[in-house]
Amino acid sequence: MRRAHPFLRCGHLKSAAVLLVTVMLAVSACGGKPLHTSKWQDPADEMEPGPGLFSGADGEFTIHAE
Amino acid sequence: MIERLKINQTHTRRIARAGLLMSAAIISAPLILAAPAAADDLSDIKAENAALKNQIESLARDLQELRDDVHQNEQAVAAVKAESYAAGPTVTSGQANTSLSISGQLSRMVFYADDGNQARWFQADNDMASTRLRFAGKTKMDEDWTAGMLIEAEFASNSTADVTIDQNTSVIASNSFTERKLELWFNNAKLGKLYLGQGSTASDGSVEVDLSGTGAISSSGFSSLGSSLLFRLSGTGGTSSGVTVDDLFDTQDGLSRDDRVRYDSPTFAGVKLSTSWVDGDEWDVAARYGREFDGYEVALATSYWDASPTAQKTGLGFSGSVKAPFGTSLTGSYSVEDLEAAGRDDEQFWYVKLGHDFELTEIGGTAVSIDYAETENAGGSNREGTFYSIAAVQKIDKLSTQFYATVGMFEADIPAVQTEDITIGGVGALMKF
Repeated sequence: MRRAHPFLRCGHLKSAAVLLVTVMLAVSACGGKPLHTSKWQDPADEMEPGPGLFSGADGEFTIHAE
Repeated sequence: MIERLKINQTHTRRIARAGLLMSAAIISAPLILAAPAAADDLSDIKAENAALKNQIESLARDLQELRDDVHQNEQAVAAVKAESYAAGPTVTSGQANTSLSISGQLSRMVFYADDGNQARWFQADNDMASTRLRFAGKTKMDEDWTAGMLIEAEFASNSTADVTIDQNTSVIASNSFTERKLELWFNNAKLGKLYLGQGSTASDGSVEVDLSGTGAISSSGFSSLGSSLLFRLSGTGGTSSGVTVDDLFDTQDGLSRDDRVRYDSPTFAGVKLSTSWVDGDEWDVAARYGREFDGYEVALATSYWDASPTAQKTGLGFSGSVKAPFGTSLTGSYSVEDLEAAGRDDEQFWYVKLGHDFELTEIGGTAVSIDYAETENAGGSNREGTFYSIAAVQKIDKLSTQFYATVGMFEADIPAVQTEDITIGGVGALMKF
């Protein structure tokens, strides 16, 4: 049975994942501005935010009460 | 002396007055001589003047009447508006602080596939960004608490994920609404968000982070363009290898969408942590990061998933994308699934993409990209797959539409057999309504 490269075994990858999360937390201390949530929180196949042909700027018809 | 000055001034005034009288006499002489003729003209002018005066008075009366009418109309409009506001909108919610939004998109393309033996065109729904309809409800309970629900269904007629070279007509298997998301959620600004129902698991999308702008037709989920196409054995007149594009190019995007309970932490300086417990006792955890630094956009994600109870596998995925302020982006992702429990080698997937978006015209943004991917042991040990493509997206802002085009190639390396490459391509449009 052909095995994956040693580095790609899950033990190492779990360490890499932990490292990546650590890097995220470290970079988060560097400041910067918020990024629109659709760019980093939604899966790629989600509907993009933005205007709709009939619904206008918000891209949705909204029934609401204040 | 003073008396003498006064006498001189008086004398000077008299001389000046006499000069003026003489000048007036000289100037008025022709008029006095022409007096009989001018008298008729004067009476005509007086008559005209009187007529004009009457007209002006008449116009002034008309103007006043018009002003009165305008004023009355304004009052009537104001009354109608007041009545309308009092009655409320045509459709309204019975609850305060609530909203219900309806949105969706249409996504159709002319899709081309050539499996090395046959080639054909399909009128298809682009599965990378399928046709769908969404109802999203939200209610605000207080400053911290909100709750809501989401119903999102897709209707993909002749989906690019379903089409096969041999089909006689459009695929009818998915000609119906199918579920994407059916979920409730409760959010607290300080505590986080809890989801309940069918929807994205924590790991869903964690290997799909992409800032290129060509996501409508190009992403690490590229296998949805021709998923069901079969690789053909070379030199056999089209004999099937039994291996589809989807078998060899699965993105391994975590636990995807499923029935689950999911928790998302609040966002701390761009970091969000998530976990979900999925029907069948699967579970996953994920971390995401998104931030902008001086115009440079950075998005990262990683996740771990455990599908041991249902599919005897665990997986790990990473993806990241960086976009410069001048429009160039670099995207990459990697995932691996451990199938040891199922007696299989680890499946691996990696993907890179170089993109650029810019304002070519005033009608909307343009984005282009080129990508490359490899898989290993996907669907069976010792298999390898290679994919590469180019893609372009042109947005038309006034139509809320993205027009797109792509050309790509799937190559398979399956033990003991030689297969033909599969070429795919097409053009289409994605319109948000």
